Amino acid sequence: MKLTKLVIDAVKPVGEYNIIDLATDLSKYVKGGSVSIKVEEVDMRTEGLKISLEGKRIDFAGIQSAMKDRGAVIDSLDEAIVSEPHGKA
Amino acid sequence: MERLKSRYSIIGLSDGLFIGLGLSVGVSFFSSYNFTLAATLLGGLTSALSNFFSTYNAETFATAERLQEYKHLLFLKEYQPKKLIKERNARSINYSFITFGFTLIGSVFVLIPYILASIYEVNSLQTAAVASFILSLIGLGVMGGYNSESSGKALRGALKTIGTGILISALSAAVGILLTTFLI
Repeated sequence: MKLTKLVIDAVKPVGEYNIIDLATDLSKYVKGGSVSIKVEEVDMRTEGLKISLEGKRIDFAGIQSAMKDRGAVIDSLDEAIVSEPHGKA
Repeated sequence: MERLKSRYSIIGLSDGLFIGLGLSVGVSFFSSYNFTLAATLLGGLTSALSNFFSTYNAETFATAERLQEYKHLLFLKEYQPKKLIKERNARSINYSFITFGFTLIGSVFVLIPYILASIYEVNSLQTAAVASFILSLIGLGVMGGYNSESSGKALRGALKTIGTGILISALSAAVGILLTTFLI
C-alpha cells in the first residue's frame, strides 16, 4: 500500500519565498504526480496554505523535512488516500 | 528583494561619493597630488570594507530577529529552517557585496579627474580638485534625483543631495585649511 494523495493545511512565512519554490521542493518527494498549493489566507507575517499532493507514491517523511527546511509548518492533514500499487488485486 | 538591492546600491554609492568628496576636498589643501589620490582611495576602500561588514552584520541580525518572530508566530519550541537560513545568508552576502562595490565605485568616481590629470600630466592639483568637486556634485545630483524619482520630487531630491555634498565639502575644506594653517 502506498500513499497516493495527501491534502495538507500548512502555514509559511510571508515574503521569504513564493509558493512555486515550495511546490518545486515538495515535488521531489512526489513520484509521478503533481503538487498543488493554494494560498487560503494571508496575515501580516504568515500565509495559510492548502497543499494537495497526488502521485504514484508520496514520501511523507521527505515532505515533512522539505517543509521544515523552508520554515513552513504543517497545521493538519485534511485528506489522505493510501492505494494498492497498480496491477495488484 | 529588488527594492532592497537598489537600497543597498544607493547607500553604498552615496556613502562613497560623500566620503570621496569630503576627503578629496579636505586633503587637496595639503598641496600634494599623490597624497590626495592615496588618501581618498584608502578612505574609499576602508569605507567600502566597513560598509561590507556593517551590511552583513545588520542583515544577520535581521535574520535572527525574523526567525525569532516566526518561531513565536508559528507557536514552535524550535525553529531551524535550514534552507530559509541558507537563502537569507546568501542574500546577506549579496547585499554586502553590493554596498562594498558601490561605495568603492562612488569613491573612485570622485578620483577620475585626478587619474586623468595624472595620465595627461596636468600638474595643477587645483584644476583636478575643482573638476573632481564638480563631477562629484553631478554624481550626487543624478543619484539624489534617481532616489526621489518615485515620489515625483526628482529635482528637489537632486538639489538636496547636492546641498549635502556642498556642506560636507565646506566642512572638510574648513578642517583642511585649519590643519594646514596650524599643524603642518
